[in-house]
Amino acid sequence: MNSPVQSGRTDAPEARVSLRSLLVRPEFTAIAGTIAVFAFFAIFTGDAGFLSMAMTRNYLEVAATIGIIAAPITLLLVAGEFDLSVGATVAAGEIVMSYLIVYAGWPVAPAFLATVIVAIGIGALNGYLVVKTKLPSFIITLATLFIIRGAVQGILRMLNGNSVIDGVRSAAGEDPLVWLFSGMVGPFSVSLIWWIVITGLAAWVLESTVFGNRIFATGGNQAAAVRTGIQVDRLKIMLYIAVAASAVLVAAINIFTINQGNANSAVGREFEVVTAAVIGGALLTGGYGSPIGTFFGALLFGMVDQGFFFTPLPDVWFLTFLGFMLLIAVVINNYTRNAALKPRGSSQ
Amino acid sequence: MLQTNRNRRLPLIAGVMAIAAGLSGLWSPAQAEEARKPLKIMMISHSPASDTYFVDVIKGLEQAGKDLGVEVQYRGTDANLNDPNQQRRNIEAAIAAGPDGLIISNPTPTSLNEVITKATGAGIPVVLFNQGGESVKEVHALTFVGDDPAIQGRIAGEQYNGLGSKHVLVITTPTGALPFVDARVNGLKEAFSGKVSLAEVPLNNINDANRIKTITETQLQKDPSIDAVFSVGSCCIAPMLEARNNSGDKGKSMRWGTIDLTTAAVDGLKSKNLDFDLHAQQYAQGYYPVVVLSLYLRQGIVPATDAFITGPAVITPENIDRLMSLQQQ
Repeated sequence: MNSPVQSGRTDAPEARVSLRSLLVRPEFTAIAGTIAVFAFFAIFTGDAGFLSMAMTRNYLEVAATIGIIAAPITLLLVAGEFDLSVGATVAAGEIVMSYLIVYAGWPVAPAFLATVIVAIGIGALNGYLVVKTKLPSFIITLATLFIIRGAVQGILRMLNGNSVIDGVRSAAGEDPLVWLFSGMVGPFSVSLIWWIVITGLAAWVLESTVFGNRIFATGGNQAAAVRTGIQVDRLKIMLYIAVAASAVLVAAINIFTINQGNANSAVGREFEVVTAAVIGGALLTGGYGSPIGTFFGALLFGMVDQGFFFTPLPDVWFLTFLGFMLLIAVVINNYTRNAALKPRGSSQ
Repeated sequence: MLQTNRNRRLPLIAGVMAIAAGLSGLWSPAQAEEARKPLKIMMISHSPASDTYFVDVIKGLEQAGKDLGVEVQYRGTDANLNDPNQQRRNIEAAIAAGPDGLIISNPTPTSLNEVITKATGAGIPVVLFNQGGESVKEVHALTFVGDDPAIQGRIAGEQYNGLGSKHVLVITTPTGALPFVDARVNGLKEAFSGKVSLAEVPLNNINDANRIKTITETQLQKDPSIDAVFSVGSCCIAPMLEARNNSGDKGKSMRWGTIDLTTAAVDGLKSKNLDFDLHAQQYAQGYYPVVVLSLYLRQGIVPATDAFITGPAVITPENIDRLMSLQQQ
């Protein structure tokens, strides 16, 4: 594959190097894919309303509720672990927070903090079980997914005999903190700010801190990481806690935006966030990934989700449509990454 | 007709059609009739399009579109029955798309009334359907087309009273999981003079016929005094009839009824394995709103009632053949 290129053209090595350095960035294909998807919807459905400000806000909202969780999930994937329980944790967060606000009459701040504490417990439990049992985190967190989802449904049924808690925003009344979760910043929902800030934080941690280096080391070669003195177990538990905490933030955004806490909320979110991370260049095997790439993965997901509305395709084909979009994105991703990584790997 | 339309199209649109060639069968033929500028009406619901109940609603919607020369489009939620966040975004998307009329289900008024009011405020006439009839005035909708689950339950209870049953087992979702299902069960409890037991199917297993059958058979084993079984909806009809077959002579001596007219229910009625079926006639929930909206938009006719109730009709082995012969025409 590379022999004719290398032997033939010696006159343009610089151009090739710069192209390669662009391709080698894990976020490259996610950005290219996002631009392609945006162009697709803008050209074919722009007139129908896709380009309107309300719809831009909407797909950013969808993307934010995926991206806020997908950022810490990316760190976890880089460290070599999964968390399938995030959707259930969102539901748990919604119900705990809604219950404290609507039935216990708590103000927003203590209700949010109490819910974060519950999430820290869930994250710590996930992390502890994964590092202690040494079983695949896929299985452990699949189990906690069922446990949490079932417990949320069961407990809420005991509490109010229903699967939803209505009137959360109404109960919170004039509490200024509500704005933090469902307010508007210019034409956009405040969730966009959270998403950008958390992505920036995750990117900074991963790329520019010692902790980030340790995450790479843990996912790249765990045995070597342990030998160099990295406390791998502690690191993983911390990442699980970060993921669960981000789920609570999404829960808060959901309940204040739609005025309702729902025990069946965010079903399937665990796959959406992993998909966003993978489109963004993360490897499911660990050791490689980019929160910036994940940001664009989530953005792409949001655009596809909202853009479909304006296509003339009947609704039943949405999942097929989504599936093809994702398949195309990851195949291109994989191809460019393989092409880009080979020469880079040999130079190290 | 298609040929002349294609000639008028811009090259760009032709490009789209070419890209979509593989999917050509999926594009609604109504899209090709731009020249006539038909009314465009969108239905925004809380249900995935693949839901067995809503499949009939969508059929009604599409037939009404054909009959009345209206371009119709259905948009539900992706996977989750009742995702108010997604439904809200879909309603906002619909407002942005600027249709001539909207048909909206309203299962959670506290969450959705605000955005539905935004639609009517933007000058788009709205008909509520399926759920949320109590919000018609608040959101300034024209009317509501749907049914009342409590009435369905009461009629079921009366049917069992008439059949002389003493103890009904209701196959249903866990109490509290789906409010409209609870309303059906409560209606039955209210009207039925005997004892009511529940076979509760977890929401996760609502499409798992084998699990539903097992749960039903376990309850029948546990309590031999049960002499009638009721399926609360389309989910549980086929598994319920399986349970009847497996119960042998005992099964034949019992009474069996359901809500929703699925293929399994039709077969059950024809073979007299099913004693009655409460047909919600949800096809009309897709059809009537298009009639109401097109009359409003073309003739200025405002409905004088807050609620068009579409069902249920009681279907029995005696009248099933007439219904089927009509639907085949």
